[in-house]
Amino acid sequence: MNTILIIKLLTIFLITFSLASLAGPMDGSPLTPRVQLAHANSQACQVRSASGACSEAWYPAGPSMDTLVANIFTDETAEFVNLQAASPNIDFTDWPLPQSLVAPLTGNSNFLVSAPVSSHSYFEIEFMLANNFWGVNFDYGNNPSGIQIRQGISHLIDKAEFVASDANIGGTGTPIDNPLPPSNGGLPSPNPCAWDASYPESGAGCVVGGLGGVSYHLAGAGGVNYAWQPTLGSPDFCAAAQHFVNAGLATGKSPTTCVLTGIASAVTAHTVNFFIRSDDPARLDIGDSLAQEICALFGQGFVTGCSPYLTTVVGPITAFPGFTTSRNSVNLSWGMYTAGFLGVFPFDTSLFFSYNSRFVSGISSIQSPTGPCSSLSVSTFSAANYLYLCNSAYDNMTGRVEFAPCITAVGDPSPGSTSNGPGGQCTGTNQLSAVSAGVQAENLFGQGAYTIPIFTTSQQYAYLNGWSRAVNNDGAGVPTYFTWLNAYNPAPAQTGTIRQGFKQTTRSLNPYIASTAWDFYVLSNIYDTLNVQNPLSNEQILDWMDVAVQRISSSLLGYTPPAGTVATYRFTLRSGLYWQDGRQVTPWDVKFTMLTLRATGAFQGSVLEPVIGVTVVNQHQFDINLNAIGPFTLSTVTTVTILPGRYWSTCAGSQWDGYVSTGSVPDSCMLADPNKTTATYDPLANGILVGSGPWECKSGTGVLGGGCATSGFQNPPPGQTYTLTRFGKGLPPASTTSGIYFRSSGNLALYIWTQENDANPLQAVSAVSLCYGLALGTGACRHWQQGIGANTATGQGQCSPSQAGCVGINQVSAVEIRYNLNWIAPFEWTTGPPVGIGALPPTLYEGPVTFTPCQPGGSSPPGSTTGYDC
Amino acid sequence: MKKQSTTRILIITLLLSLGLAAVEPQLLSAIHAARAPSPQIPQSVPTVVYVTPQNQTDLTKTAGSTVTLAVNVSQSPPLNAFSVILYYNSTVLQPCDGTGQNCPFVDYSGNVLGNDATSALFCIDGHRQSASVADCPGTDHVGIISLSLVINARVTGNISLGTLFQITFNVASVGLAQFHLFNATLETATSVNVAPTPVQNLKTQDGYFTNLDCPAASGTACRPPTVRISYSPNPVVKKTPIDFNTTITENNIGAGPLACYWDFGDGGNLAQTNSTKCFNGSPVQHTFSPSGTIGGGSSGGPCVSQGVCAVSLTVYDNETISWTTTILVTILNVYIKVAVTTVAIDHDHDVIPGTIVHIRADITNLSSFAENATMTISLENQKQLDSGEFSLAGPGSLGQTKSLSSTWDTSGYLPRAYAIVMNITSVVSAIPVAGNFLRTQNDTSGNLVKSYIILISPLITGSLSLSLLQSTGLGLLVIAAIVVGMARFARKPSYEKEPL
Repeated sequence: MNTILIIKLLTIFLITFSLASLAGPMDGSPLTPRVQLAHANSQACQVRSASGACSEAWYPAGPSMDTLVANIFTDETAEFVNLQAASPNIDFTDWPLPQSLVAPLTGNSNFLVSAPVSSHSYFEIEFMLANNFWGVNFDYGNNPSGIQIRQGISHLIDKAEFVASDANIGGTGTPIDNPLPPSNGGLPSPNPCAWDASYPESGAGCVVGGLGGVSYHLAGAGGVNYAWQPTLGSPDFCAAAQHFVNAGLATGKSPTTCVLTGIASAVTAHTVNFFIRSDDPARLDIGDSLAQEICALFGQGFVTGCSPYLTTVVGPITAFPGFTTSRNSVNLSWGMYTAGFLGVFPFDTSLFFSYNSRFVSGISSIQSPTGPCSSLSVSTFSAANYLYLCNSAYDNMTGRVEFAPCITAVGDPSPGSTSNGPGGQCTGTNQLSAVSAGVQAENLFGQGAYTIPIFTTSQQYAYLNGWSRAVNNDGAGVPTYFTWLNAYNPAPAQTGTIRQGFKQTTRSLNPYIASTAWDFYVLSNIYDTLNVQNPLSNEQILDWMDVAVQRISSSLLGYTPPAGTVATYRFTLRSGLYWQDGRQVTPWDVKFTMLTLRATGAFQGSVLEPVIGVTVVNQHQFDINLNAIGPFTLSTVTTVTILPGRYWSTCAGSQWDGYVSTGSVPDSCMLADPNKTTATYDPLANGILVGSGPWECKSGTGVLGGGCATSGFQNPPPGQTYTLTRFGKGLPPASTTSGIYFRSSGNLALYIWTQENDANPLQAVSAVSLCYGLALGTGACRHWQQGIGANTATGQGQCSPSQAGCVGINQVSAVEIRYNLNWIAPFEWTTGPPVGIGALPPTLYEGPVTFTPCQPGGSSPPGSTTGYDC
Repeated sequence: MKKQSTTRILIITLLLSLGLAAVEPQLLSAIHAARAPSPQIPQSVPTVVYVTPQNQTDLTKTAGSTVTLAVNVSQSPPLNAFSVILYYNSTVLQPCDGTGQNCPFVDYSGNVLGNDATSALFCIDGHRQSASVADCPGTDHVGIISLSLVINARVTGNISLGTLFQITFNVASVGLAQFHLFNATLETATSVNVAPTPVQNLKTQDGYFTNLDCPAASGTACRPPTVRISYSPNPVVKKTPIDFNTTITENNIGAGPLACYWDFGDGGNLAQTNSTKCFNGSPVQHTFSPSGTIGGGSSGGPCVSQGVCAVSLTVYDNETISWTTTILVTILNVYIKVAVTTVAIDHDHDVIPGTIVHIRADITNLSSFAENATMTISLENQKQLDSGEFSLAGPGSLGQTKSLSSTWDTSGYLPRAYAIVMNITSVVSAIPVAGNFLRTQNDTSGNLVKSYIILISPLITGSLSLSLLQSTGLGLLVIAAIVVGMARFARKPSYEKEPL
């Protein structure tokens, strides 16, 4: 959904699919039927995203359908089987097609397959950096012996060989050496060849911007049980052994096999636990192979698990214990983990928001000056930096990435050069550009081998034929907010309904706890965000709940900003912005959301770290006061889900409403109810899942805020569903502002009819006013007398009282209320459109209603949805 | 072009000197046009929106006093609506209080539209006034008054002079308060049956109030500085660096600049606290980037996409005076121009029919990005001599300029001037722009270029070509003639000796 929000706020934990049950003709064997290209059923290539991938156009309005049902499966295998059943109960899937299914489904007229997109995801091996590994305390990444161990393990996989030979990757993977995908918004990879001081690499790959798979890699793996495993006695196996010796785990190694000798007694006293994800075959292969290599190093042979050296736990994402952090201690329940992240764009998303120590669960014993972690960290149940990397040099450099004065500068490390520094400084400053600092941050990360980045992939998704306007999101594919907003099928299998498959259930629908992609798939449909990313060009940011954002100097604020403020952005909320319960969205709701998400250390609140205050200016405007600012700041702080204060504040219900009605909500109400921010609190069961987004959580009997899961609780098990209802279902299009989603198709149609804009807002006002009361068909007034905005009641002025279409106060007001409104600010739909948006005027859908643009020379009766913009 | 003009003049001079009359009529027309004075383009009287009184100086007005000004319009066509955004100094003049109350008093009764005018937008200091239908724009803040009035079902008559609205401020402190007309829009229509359009030839004129004397205690009211802004290159293309130059003249004794603040309208701004940068003529560079891009102009609104950005420079001086000047800069989304930039012809005058003339034309892509185009070389647009399709790289790259070479065998052509025509057609962007291949140009001035080749009549074959023997003989004859002549010249004139 709002991949947008997913993006920064979430570095979402991926799960993967198993091909185990996709046997037979779908397993990619030579017997797989060949597909004739002429029969291919690829998604329509209406537009291309910024990365060049085909997609259908997107539209900033919806939903097109009345109902969105999420059917929950046990895993993606079951989901794909269901999709291909004779009577599937899903229309869309949420997981990339395995390569073995791409050709069969592309050749099957029952399906449409999206074009490959370079995903903004990556996969890596993580270490719990506060833990003890074989007697060596990693000390939050700072113990030199710990670095030796991690560098040693880094030698134990040939990444290039892995992406080339692992059947689950199927040739769609790319090896990486840094914790972010190559498609990241402009940060090149550093020259990695000096990361291992003992075993530096050389060759053509030792350059900035080179291909991945070069670091900690001396020679091609000979292959053991897997092709990418270094063999006994191979250069990389021996390098790993020597690093372990350097770390003090052993006194030496075999001169022929390099198996460790003289293993220290402390090793077996601190067994390392390796959590290997079972729900992603590729990651399962990585985990198994790496575990075998480690066991082999300790002389146990190539076995998956060799207690007391290494134990392995194989399980799905829901079983991984590391995500839940403690607010008063450090969770040491794991040692290594096969991790994955989605929505890593732009490059600060992972470098800063995942690994900077501001985002550990902050407790005093580990915080500066007592400990190595940032004093800015907040204790939380859902820390983004759950691996507890706390390295001051890395913190410093990633802080310089996040708050650089510019993104690029002359002198930035350029692809092909061998030097990673010193980098370029922003004009007029002595500060590094974000790119220069980013390259150095990558370099520090690689030297410390804090994780072992492995690979990224491209993605393709399948869905049932008959659907249109499935948006192939740049970096995330089809299962995104804009697909659910736009997708349309005139004859769906279930009337008026999008049936979305979820390969797994959610982890939490509590906005203060939510962290996985599936959590936000649901939440971002219910709650909106201030801004959204263009689905086909993630670098572009559109005003969504607001109409304007302006950086404003302190002298013009009209108040004294909080101490430490270095920049202030003033936001103006869209008028006609309502919660699904009919109450108006206010700046106090935004203030409450930002302050409480930040204070509670919510997973999605990490992006609010530089927000030092939120100041309400009036009923429509508020300021975000920042204590630091960088090129990414505005686009990140606007991605959190905006929550209604009346349901989450300590001043709940009528108390909150009362304050709003007086025009002032006190700061004492800007606290989240502590009972509602716990890891187990269920907002669905408690009936407060009320947002301002396009979809409502509503029971079958129409009770808002709950009852949208068949279980009656959040996180329904496989076989059950979430059912979301279009905000405004049952009401005529654009018939009310408080009862219909403010970006509904009907509202967009009416906006287009008004011809309002922010280039010359007076023009439309003047034009409609001139026509007030004039006889039908007069001169230039024809437009205002027909179409969706025309008067359906009796006429006025010179018009015959019995004539509909006469311009009256309703028409003039409809235009004036939208004075200066730009639906897609800060872009212009005709002269400077965002990438991939549908052309004006679009055909729009709202439940059973279709809004058809005017044909040349055509006309339309008043209130008509045929030729709505006539 | 200059080179071409020079070439033309040289050719004409040559033609005239040779007395050849076979000059292409079109060329003569061009010459005539070049010599004739430019036709006078009727200049309509601009419509002016202005502050009156233009300056109010009253050193006795202290805090609590009031200042009233009017915003007027003159020489306006019939109006149906107007919109004005006025900036004022909220330090010298009292703004609304924090709750939006006690605002400056804006009175639009008696405005030129009539008493039935209604306010589509009416905001003071970012506070929506009760009469306003629309919410305040997000760009409004303290120190801004926005008013848009409209009338239903009618237009006014021509307006020679009228008032749009009046404002009464309470004075808050001592200083100079500019009344800056940041934006004014007037909608005109000849009748209700015609769609309204903005008044095009519209100018604005700011005013100010001051109760400050310069220098202090001099008793002489302060005056604002005179500020002019220019920029280059022009036209401005987005994502291309633009240099802004300023000319600032202080009009108060002892006044000196302290700082400048640029607001480029696209979210970009620049504060210059080092006065030397602000005033010594060093250009300020800015690149207009579309808003909405991470790291780009992400908070300035869509002016780049709209194609016009209001660039404001506020100058602060050591007399506590600030003065804002705003210019509108047109921003081209893309700039596409493919032109013939060089024409080389090895024989272009005194060409004897039968000569093989070699022609080379350079085609250059001056656009924002790579372009494909076709260039044709023809003889007077009738006989194609050569044609080529070119893939031209974007600016700054090899391959931005390419050449087409051709030959013309002049055998059989009568002596006269012939036009060699270089014509560029089918200009198409080499890559899709916003999903489409663009097939337009901002500037087509270099698409059609002509050069002229003058064929002359051949002389009799060998008439001036003498052999050595002939030359020697001729030389002897000439010498002999000279000798004889000199001998006769040396003799006594005959009339002196002859009897009468």
